[in-house]
Order: sequence, then C-alpha cells, then structure tokens
Amino acid sequence: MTSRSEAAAGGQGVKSENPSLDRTSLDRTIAEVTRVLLERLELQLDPAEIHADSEFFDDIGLDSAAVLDLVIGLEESFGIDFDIAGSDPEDFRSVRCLARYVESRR
Amino acid sequence: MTPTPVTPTARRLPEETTVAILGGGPAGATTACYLAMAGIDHVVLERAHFPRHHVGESLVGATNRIFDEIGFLEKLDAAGFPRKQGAVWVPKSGKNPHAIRVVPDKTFGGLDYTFHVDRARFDHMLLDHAETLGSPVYQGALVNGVETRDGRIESVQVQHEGETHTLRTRFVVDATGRNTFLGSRFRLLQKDTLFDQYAVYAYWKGVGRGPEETAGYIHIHFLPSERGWVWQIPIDDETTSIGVVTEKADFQRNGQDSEAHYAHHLARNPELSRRLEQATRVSNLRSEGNYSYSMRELVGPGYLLVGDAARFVDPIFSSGVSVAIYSAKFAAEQIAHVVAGERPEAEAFGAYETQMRAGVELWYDFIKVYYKLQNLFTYYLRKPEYRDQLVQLLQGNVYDARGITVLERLREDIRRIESTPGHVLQEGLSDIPI
Repeated sequence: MTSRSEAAAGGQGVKSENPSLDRTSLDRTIAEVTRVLLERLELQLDPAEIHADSEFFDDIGLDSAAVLDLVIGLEESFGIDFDIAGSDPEDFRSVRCLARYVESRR
Repeated sequence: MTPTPVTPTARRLPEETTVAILGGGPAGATTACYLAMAGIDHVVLERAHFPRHHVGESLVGATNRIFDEIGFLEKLDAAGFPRKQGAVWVPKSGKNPHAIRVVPDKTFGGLDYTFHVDRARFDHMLLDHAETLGSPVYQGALVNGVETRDGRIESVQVQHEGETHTLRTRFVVDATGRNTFLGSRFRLLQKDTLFDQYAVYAYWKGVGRGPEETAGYIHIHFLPSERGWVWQIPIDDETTSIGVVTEKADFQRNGQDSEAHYAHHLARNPELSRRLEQATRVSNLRSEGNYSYSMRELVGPGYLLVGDAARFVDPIFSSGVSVAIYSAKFAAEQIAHVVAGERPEAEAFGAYETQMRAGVELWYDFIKVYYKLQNLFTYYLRKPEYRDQLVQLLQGNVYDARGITVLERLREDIRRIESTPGHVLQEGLSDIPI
C-alpha cells in the first residue's frame, strides 16, 4: 500500500516538480500507467520490455479482464473516472494512447 | 440449543385441517409460524426426520425482517452461527480481490449482520420454532397423492408411521422445495434453458480465509470459464463449504466424474488454490443438478406454491432462504385474508402470485445482468453511483422495486459495449440475452 500512495502523490504532484527534469506531463503519465500496469497486474515481464508504444493486447498480451483491472488501478491512482462503456477501442491500443486518455479525463 | 420436546398429543394425524403445509424446510416452517400467529388451523407434513442435510448455507440481510416478525431472530443470533457482513469477489487471475461490506441497517433486532448457517441445524431450529408457536409438525410424513374434485384439491394422502391417512384440507401450501410436488403433478414446471448450471460441493477444514476483516464474508472465486465460479462459505470456526458451480454442459463435455470435475476447477483460480493448500476435505462430495426453473402458475384453486417449490434461481446471490421465507409470509397473509372472509380466494391468491413474481423476477434480472458482465461486476461495485443500489439488491431488498434503476443503467452500458466495434470489454461479456 505504501508504494501506491507514494506513487499517487508523485503522479499528482506534477506542478511541484523541478521543471529542469524536462519531463512533459504526458511522459509522467506514461510512466505512471506503466507502473500501475506492472504492479497491479503482477506481470512477469521485464519492465525494460514495456515502452510507450507497447500494445496492450498484441505486445503485452492482456485480456479484457486484465484491462479492466488496469483501469481500476488507474482510476485509483489518478483519482479519475473512466467512462468505460463509452470508451473508444483506440484509447486502449498502447500505453501512450491510454496515457493520453487518462490526461483527457483529469 | 436443545430441540423442543414434541408433545405426544400432536402425534396422531387429524382427519381434517384448514391448511396442509407440505414440507418443513424454511418455506414450510415459516408459513407455519405465520399461520400459528394468526390462529389458523394447519398441519406441517415433513417427509424427513430433522436434522437432515440441505444445501444453501448463506443468508442475506433481508431475512432479518422475517425472522424478527416470527420471533426467531433472537434464537438465531444466540445460536453461534458465523456472522456474515459482506462478500469478496476474487477475479479469475486470483489477483486484486474486491471486498464489499453488505450489512442490514439494524432495523431488525439491532443486527448489522446476517448469517452463514449449517442448514441441517438451522432448518431444524426453525421447524422447532414453529412448534413452539403451536404448529402441529409431523416428521416422517410423506405426502404421496392428492385428490381433487372439480379441479380443487380436497385431500392429501399421507404415509405416516406405517399407515396411510387421508387428510381433508381447505388449502394446500406446497413447500416441498426442489421436489416440486404440485408443480410436477400439475405439469406447471418450466425448465430454465438459460441457466442449466451444476454445483458440486463439500465441507473442508483448514481453508485459508484471507485477511481477518473479511474472513467471515462469503467468497466468490471466478473460474476462467463462462458462468463458472466457486463459493467459499464459513460454516463454523473450522469448517468451510467449498462449491464449484459451472454450466452442466461444461461437466458433461469433459466427461469427468464429479471428483475429477471438482478437483479440476478448484485448481483453476490461483488464489483459491493457495487457500486450499493446507486444507483437508471432511465430507463426501455432493452435487445439485436440476437447476433453475419457474412455474406457469404459482397458485391454483386452493393451493399456493412457496419457496423452491415455486421457483429456483441460480444461487449466486444466496437468495434461496430469503425467497422461501418471504413467499411464506406473503402466502400466509393471503390465506388469512381468505379465512377471515376479507377477500375472495382467487383475488387473494392472485395478489400473492403478483407479489412473489415481482420479487423473484428482480432477483432473476439481477442474476442475468450479473452473469452477462461477471468480469465487470466488481468494477461497477466500486462506483458510488452503482454501488448503493447493487448493495440493496445483494441484501435481498427485492420486493419493492420502486426506484431501483441500476439494472437498467447496467443494461444500457452493456448495449454500448456490444454496439462499439472492437470495444475492449466485449470479450468479457457472456452470451446471455438481457
């Protein structure tokens, strides 16, 4: 539980971070989506294998139950509400696509 | 709790009664309690000698109201059955289980919990309770025939202590459970083709019950096959009931015997497997087929069907005893109206049918939507705008459907998912028509 709350604080404390780190908001969201993906789904994958353009179904091998579990993790981590029934399949293509969707719901 | 001694005078079957109640399970016993309280002459005819085994150990909060009305809640609370305050859903991956507290609002007896009950003991206590209220209960009394005149039951044939008796009666309440005595005899039974499920279960000792705060909850472990799940129900401090529910076709397709089928599915949810690592089975395997059915009519001239004898739905929400005792209450109330000359029989029994159907159909609707989106269910349970009404339904508050909008909202979401090509959750939906 500690790691989740720390991460959530990091995810939401965007403005207080040093701008010299030169990470865009989207980059940070991609990093957080990746973290939730790895931790919540306990994937037996080398984190180095997952990058922004990894596709959830084809590359990472998720099924719809795992995607839903990821959505729950992201809703908790970012404090947002997905409109899951109304979502566009394109939003769930890759880590980057989902991070963009998350940004749009904040 | 020691069983109440039976008064010897009650042993001889009468020749005539006002209401013959067939069956002494929760539906029959509760009907008897209400009739006894109303001072209406009746007899309970139970073919078994209690205690006898029965499946369906988990209750829902709505039962507290009925038990309170018949003066049974205090006895039940004092009996030491495990208290139930919620449910845990364990996804098929075994990861991230979701626990939800489901508690009654203390309106009845001040209790904010319901119970898991060993049905042999519980059913016996409830039948004994009917006797303490003055119900004449006959155990070992097998009803094996009815005689009708002009389409109305006039008497029932009873085998009791080696003799055949003819018991003339004005009304018959069929509480024979899944034997569906009158429903089969009058050809009222309609099998439910949507839910041909099959349950195999046994008692275990040493099952891991997970975190302390949810150890007393019912657990539903999903299986990686459609409509497949496993119940985990505490029976006492040491004993746990573990039941595998699958489509019957799944069982037949695999061509396994029950033992192999049971073992195969228990190994398919990683979290469940961990919980069984140190556990030992302490009972024979039992199975229940003859799944969901409804009846064309729930009433007819002079008779009413209550509990499982009227309707059986999938046990996913532990609705069985609740339906049994609510239908018993509704039936007894309508009988009282007729006996008092306040309402014509057809009108009163029609009102019973409407009331009973409305409640059970809401359960059934809930079950269909649930199985449709089984993998998505815990997602919706997390959402405040869905959760409150879902908890009401889980509690068994189904007999007053006013204001219940959540099922329609879920159906709307399901339609959106189904109509969006490539929707990420499409493969998580089952093929059940809603």
